[in-house]
Amino acid sequence: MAEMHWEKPLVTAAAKPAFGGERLKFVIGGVLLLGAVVYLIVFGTVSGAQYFMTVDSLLASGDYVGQAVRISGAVDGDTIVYDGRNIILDFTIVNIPTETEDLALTLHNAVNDPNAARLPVHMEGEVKPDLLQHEAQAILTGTLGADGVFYATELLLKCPSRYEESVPGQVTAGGV
Amino acid sequence: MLAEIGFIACLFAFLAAIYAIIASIYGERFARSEAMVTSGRNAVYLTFVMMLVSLFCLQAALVTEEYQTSYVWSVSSPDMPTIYRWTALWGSQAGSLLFWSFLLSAFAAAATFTNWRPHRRLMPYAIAYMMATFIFFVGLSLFIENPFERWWVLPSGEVIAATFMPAGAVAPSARQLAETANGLNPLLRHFGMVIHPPMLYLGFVGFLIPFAFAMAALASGDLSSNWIKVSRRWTLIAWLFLSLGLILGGRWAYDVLGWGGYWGWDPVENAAFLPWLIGTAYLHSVMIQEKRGMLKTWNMFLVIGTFSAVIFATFATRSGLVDSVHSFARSEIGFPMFTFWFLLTLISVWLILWRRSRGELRDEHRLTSIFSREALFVLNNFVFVALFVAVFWGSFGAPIVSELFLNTNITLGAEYFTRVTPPLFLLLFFLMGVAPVSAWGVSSLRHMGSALLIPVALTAASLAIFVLTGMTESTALLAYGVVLFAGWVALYETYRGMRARQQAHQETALQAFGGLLTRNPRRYGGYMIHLGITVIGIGVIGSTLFQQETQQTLAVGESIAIGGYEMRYDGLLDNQISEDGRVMDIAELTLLRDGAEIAHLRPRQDFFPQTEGMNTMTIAGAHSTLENDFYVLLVSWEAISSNSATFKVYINPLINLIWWGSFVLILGTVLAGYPRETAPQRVRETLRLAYEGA
Repeated sequence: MAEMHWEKPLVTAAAKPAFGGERLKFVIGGVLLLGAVVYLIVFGTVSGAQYFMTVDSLLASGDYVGQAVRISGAVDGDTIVYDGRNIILDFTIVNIPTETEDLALTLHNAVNDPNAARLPVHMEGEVKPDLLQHEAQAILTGTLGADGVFYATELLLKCPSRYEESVPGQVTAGGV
Repeated sequence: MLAEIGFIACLFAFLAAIYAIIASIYGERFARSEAMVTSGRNAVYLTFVMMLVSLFCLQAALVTEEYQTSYVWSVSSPDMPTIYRWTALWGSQAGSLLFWSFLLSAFAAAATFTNWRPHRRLMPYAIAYMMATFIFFVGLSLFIENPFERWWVLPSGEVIAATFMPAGAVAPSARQLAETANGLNPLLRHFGMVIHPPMLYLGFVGFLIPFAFAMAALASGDLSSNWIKVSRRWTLIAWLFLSLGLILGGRWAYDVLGWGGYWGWDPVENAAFLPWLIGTAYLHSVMIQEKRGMLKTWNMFLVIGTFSAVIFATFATRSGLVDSVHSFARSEIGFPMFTFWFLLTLISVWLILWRRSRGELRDEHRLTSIFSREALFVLNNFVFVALFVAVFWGSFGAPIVSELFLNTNITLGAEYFTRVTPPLFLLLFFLMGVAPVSAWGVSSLRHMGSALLIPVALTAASLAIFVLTGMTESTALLAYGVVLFAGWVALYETYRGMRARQQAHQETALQAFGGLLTRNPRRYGGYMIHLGITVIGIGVIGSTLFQQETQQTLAVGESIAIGGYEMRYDGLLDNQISEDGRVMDIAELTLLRDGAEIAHLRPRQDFFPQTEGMNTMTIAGAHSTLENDFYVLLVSWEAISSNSATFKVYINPLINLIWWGSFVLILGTVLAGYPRETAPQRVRETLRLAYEGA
């Protein structure tokens, strides 16, 4: 079999682009399109931005009353009141201090901390989600009313036990 | 026993992969030993066999209910139906990672097998890249998320998970473990979950092959069209699976999550959508390189970008980076995965720039006419990349940048996406209509105008029918117009091809259609994909712009009227126990149209008494027609008297077109990518012998 050379010879002389009429059209067209896309994204960002904060930081500064924000908190299961007839949901979330590796423990400690900041949440027209349970992490979108109640429009929940493996309790040794 | 065999097989696969890299590269570059390179190839096959054994062990442990294996204990329970024992394989992080590595090894072995002879020069490098990726993922399984760990009771009484028996430890009682086993997350007990994750993984993992061959081309210096030939078909395979994975995920969300929708612009959904966007751009721009020798650097960036996006999506989903219903729990694999993603992207980009600086990726032609097909394809690529940037920015960019530089945490909600993406999608549909009638090199507006005359007329006629049937909203008409235009072009171009064949060969319509597909499967398969996307587009517009919803409390015998339907509440069956132990409260409903009964619906709420945490599930009742879905959720009911219940009802117009369009899309992709013999077997064999004898 003949020896073959795969490495292509290096091209040394760079072809000079001709700056003709067509090329100008491409440049102008490209700039216009790029401008349109940048405008779309910036416009979308400005109008869709929500500040993501903790219960503490939302309550500490009064600046956010009436403004769309996203907050995260631990659900206190005892406070969940659901009016299924009118689809009105009320519950309280508790401030979550810095998250640790063990989300379940963080949430548990938050809910049982008597000094942690608490925020009542009111939500209408949303079916009570299956995941809304004691010590779940709630991520809410909505506005803080002047009455100190958070009016939520969107609710996302995370249950730490869902995919995580825990250790079996109450197991003793013994073959089968 | 199974667990130990599985673990050791996994370890052997890891070692074989290391050997494959060393033998391939050392044998090719330094020792120049064909035998060594061949043994490297064989090691690739060995990794696949070992992964098969490993996966079989985990699957067997699941099916035979070995609760002493901690993974089995955490994702299954004695009351679970058998089908979910199989799918529990990907029910949690550790199992799904092993499954992912298995698929990686399968793809690597298949790509090695099919390309060894035609692309021998690229293979050692391709093997090195495929195996390096494999080593990383299987390493995660071995060292961080090991699915083969077993429970052990230490002398102190503490229960721990470990692969091999710690000193003095004993195995816990299997019976007690069975009683405390977690069971699969109820949300994952759905038919969609049986196939959605494997499809998505196949799509993700499949993009490894085009990536490895692109990198092999860069590393070996064989920058001819060889790598393009390999990568195009594998990209199409991966693209098909990824498309299916995305659609099935939407279907699962629609059936299970109970919010009447199928796509929520959730960060994890977006993460899976990102590789699709660049992969689709690549499938188009690769044609320009094949036909015109242009965009060589750009195509490299797209291939590598696609796989980089895959790894990023995996990292985003599996590390707990974002909050989402889809994400796995926070995990230790976040940091290694991020590092892997970063290095992979860095090395790839560096290789491209290096080859480019040597002048080896120079284009053979320049863009000449704005209406030429290559210019329209460049525009198509621009829009796909713009969509990619917009979706990435909205899901990850804005939150990360604001946290790092603005000291706040800004997230962008669904409104951002519904505002930014529709104009870009519409532009894509417009291009989908225009590009097929343009010509390579130079194309004139007049030529395109005459070719588009009939599709435009058909679009106008369709819109006229829409207006006459009472749909007058201008946004909707614009959106439908653009989408239908793309569909009519695909249909009309196929029709023209058929007519030409019928006249030239005296064929029947069916023969002519078959002939077109055999002669030019890429073109006509492509049109069929366009048609599928059009049908999906019509479904998306209908279900997004015209969704109706209402909620109402009904006493037994009362009805709700919405969207031309009447829904009557007939009564509640509470505390029904199903065979997997779930307790169901079922509302019985009768759906009527024009006074006639058309369906009985049973929306329900399931309660899983065995499961801790997330243990209720709202299952919708739906009546599907091509026109719309009547989708109802049982929200609440009076527990004692059972004589009234509250329902939430959605009318989702045209939503079924999304699923039907997907079938067209699958068919088109299979036709476009179906392997063809370029010359009869006998001719190729003669050529090969002649070549080898030379």
